[in-house]
Amino acid sequence: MRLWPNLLPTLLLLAVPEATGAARTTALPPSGAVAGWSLQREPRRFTPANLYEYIDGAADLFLAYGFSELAAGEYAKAGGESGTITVDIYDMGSPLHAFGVFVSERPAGPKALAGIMQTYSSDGLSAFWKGRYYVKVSAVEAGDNSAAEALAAATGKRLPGSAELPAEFKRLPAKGRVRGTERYVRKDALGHRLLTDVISADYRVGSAVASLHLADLATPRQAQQAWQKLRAFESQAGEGLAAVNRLGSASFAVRDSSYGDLVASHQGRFLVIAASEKAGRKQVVALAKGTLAGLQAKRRQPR
Amino acid sequence: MQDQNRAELSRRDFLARAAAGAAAAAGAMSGMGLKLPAALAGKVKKQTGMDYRVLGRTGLKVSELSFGTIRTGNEAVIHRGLDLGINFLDTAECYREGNGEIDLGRALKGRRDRVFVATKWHTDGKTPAADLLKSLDESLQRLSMDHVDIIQIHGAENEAQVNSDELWAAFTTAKQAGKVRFNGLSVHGNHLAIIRAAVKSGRYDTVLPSYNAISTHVGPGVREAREAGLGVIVMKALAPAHRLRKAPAQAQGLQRRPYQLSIQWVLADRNVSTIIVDMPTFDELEEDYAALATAMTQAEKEAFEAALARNTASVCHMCGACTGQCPAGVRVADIMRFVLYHDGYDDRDRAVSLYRALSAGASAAACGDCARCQVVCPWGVCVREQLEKAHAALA
Repeated sequence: MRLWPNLLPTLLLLAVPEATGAARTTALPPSGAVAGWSLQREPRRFTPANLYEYIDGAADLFLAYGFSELAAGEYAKAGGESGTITVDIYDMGSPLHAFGVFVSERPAGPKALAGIMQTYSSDGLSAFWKGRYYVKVSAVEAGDNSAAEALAAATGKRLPGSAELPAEFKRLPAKGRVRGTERYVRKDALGHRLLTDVISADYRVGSAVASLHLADLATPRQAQQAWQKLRAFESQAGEGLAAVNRLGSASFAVRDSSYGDLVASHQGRFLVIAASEKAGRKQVVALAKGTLAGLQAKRRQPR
Repeated sequence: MQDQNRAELSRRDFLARAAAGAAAAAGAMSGMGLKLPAALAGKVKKQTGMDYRVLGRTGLKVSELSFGTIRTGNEAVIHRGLDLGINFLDTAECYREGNGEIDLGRALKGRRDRVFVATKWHTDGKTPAADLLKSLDESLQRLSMDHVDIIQIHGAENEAQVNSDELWAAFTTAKQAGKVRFNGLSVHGNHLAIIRAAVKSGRYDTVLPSYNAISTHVGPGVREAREAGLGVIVMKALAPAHRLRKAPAQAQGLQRRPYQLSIQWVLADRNVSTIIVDMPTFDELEEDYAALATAMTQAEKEAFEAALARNTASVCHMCGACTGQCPAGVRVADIMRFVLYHDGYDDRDRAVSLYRALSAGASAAACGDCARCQVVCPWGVCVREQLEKAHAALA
């Protein structure tokens, strides 16, 4: 896997007006933007209703993240002997959604390099997210990775928006966070249907690592419902479920067979879940408490 | 391979715990209007465990309900599924750009010897064996496994792929190296031709078609595959449930929810060994598992098929039977596809642009009175009426 340490700052600095549906196709680099490569035929457009025609079952993932529209361009060299490169611009509706689907498809292994975690390039596939767009450039057929990266860069320049971590992640504590582990799951987080819009990250707690999840359930009532359902579930699937006085009455701790020590607490429309296999319950409770305190502090800040 | 006793004990243990805790949980949650998964609420009547079927000539005994992994990757959910008796998991090298395999491998750590795993590789028919073997090695690396039980062509579309000597060479090499056990293929379309080619080649052990109560035309292919000794794994079994989602089950004369009937409809075909279903949450897993408890009655089957017929009477099944049949030269099959873009996919621009690209003689304007297209349609779709509507909407 190769990352593009020099590419992203360029993408970030270039301000482009907000794209409309038509602009998604105009963000595709014109013929010649990368020497020798020409846009073949009219770009194709796909909507949630027919995305399956283009990417088959993989469409489920994109639909789960709020996919709105795809503009697909196909590039080839003169003579057509070098195969094709495809540039797919997915409009995911919001930066958080674009970030979420990007992270979901990002290859494992070292991801963050000097703060650049928004791009990856591997085996003929280059991908990045910017603003509400997730872009995948595939040179699998052409086998020309450098051309694919150049087309990706050219596309990035033409798209509006930023590749900064979405603002929602400011709700998570900065202290102890393992850089590059931020992720967003829109539906079915931790295997629970009621856990939606969950941002997560890993944290160093002592010599161990804990995972922190913050679900934005839209209303306090929904947060309470999700917490109660999770508690009911863990009362059967987990062991030693108990209240956590330090976190208030809307909290519980349990030993979960998959996640280890797990603590859950809800506050307002948010549900905080912290878990660690090895850190110990005390550390996990402290992580949850710090997160809740941060949420309270943000509520008190004047708007 | 399968420690069924352990799975059975785990399941019983789980159900016992669920039943014990259900009353307390229900009391706590009743005021919130919350609904526990069926098994957690102690509503699962089935007490005999998951049923298993032999997967054709592989001899593998696979659970009737299996995991698809396009969205499913949560370790805890997969563990729960294994405890319920699921022992077959299907993935692919491209699911979430490889992360599907990574998540599955992580979830199966320490449990690999209790389950069967299938993944896929891509070939265009000419893909060199070396490239296929590289793809397999990368899959095994992501899965953290030394072998998969089945390797499948991902979405075979033509006979060149099915009969690829490069693919056969790659499979035999991988099998000799102990990296795979059986050879299979998945099929999204052109089912009969692809399945027959696979049977004729004699090179395949399993087939993975999309088959359900709507795509009944796949049934003969399923039967032929099974009769030839291939194991049949089915995907898209729940598609009919999506077709019926707009109205409550009871309003459609159904006693059970459409997804339950969709599962039972496919499993009623004894040529099918297992269905793979994406179940990313505990709720979906428990619901689908609960759907296995009661077999579909003949009355239920008829009511289900009638409900589907009411909802699909004007929907083209894309079987292609009307292609080239119009004596006036109208491109009937193409126009029906444009209607699907317009009505089914809400893509008016595309439908209009494609329709207007037809010559006058190929458009519905040239339609006479013969109704041949309607006669040849095996699904009873009112084709002429659809052509008239298409012309009015798209011309």
